[in-house]
Amino acid sequence: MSTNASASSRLSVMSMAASLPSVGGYSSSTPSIYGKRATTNILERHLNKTRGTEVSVNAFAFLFSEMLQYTQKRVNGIQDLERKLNELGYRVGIRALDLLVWRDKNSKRETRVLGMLYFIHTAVWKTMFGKQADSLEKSTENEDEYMISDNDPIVSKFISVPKDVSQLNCGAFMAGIVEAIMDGCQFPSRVTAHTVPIEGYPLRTTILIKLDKEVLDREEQLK
Amino acid sequence: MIFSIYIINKAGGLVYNKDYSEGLSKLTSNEYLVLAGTFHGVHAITSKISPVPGSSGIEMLETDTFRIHCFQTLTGTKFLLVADPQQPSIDHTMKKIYETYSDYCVKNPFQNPEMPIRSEQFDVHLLKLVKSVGGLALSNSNNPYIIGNTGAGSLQSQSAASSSLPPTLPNIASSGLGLGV
Repeated sequence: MSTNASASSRLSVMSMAASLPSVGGYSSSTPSIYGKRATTNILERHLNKTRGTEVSVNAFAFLFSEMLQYTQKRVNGIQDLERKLNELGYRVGIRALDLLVWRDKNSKRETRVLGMLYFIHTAVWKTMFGKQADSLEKSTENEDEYMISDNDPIVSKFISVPKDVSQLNCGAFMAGIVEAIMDGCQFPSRVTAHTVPIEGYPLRTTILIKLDKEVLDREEQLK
Repeated sequence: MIFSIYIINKAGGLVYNKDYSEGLSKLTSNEYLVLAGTFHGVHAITSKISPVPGSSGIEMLETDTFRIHCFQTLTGTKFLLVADPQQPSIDHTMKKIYETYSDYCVKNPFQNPEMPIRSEQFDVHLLKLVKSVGGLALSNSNNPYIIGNTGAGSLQSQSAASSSLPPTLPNIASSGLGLGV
């Protein structure tokens, strides 16, 4: 039933594409008069096919740079800027979670904190940044805090933060993504990003996840 | 051996300058700006006086002891590379400098275009690049172009090395300008 529905909706998209004139190279797959189809339109592409659909790091860097410049003009202070970046990341994360769950056929719903964090550390990082995160740790001081670290985050690869805004960490965007995924999986938490440089990795960023009390209470019951 | 790198914006202002050799005597910051502005003017003139239409401006300025290589991007930014006449594969080095610039300056949201370059990562990666092409005077013990610099510690070999790299910046500036005007 569901396959039928999706097939028919695919068809309707295709027939629409065929009836519309192509707009300045935007849709490269619109059937030409020769009936040839060069590449597949992004709307028609299968969601599960990931090979060859990666976005170039440079394209992302330019986009992210513009996002930062846009945001910077509309905020007062660094805290405000980080909050905005976090919000932008949240919007990405909530969509990424949807896609990840759809792609992962054998996925089960994570009910435990550790499984959830491991999913972020591996699956999420791999899809978003093309590699796993470098470490997943539990805070020794606070029971409700966990840390995911990335030695060389793609987000801030080309960014040099000037001295007057040195407290700013562009990883706030990644923190927003993580927060959205935690939220979406019913693990509400507060997520922040911090720069923790170590030898050889000056850009190393740690994502600090502070779980809400309700999550810890539930975790206690599940034990 | 690479002596210096300058970057001139499309209006002729100097946005970046860095020396990579120790023996060079420094110009004042005002003189650097004048050098950049003058080169910018000379570059514009040379492209106009060419008998062939659509010619690029000056690409290389040669003396006995150094060469100034110029590379202009499509957007009008100029990269000046002051190097030893024997320095090999300048084109490749220039391309790498351009790459470093587009990575760590153009993609840096805190770097305004056409403004002086203040980007820590740019500094770091440019230094790494200059080192990798054997451009640093400090690491010239394995540089085949410096004769007589076998032991970095001995005083004699040091003086030999410094006499074999005579271009000081006033030299460069005066002869460069003299040729232009």
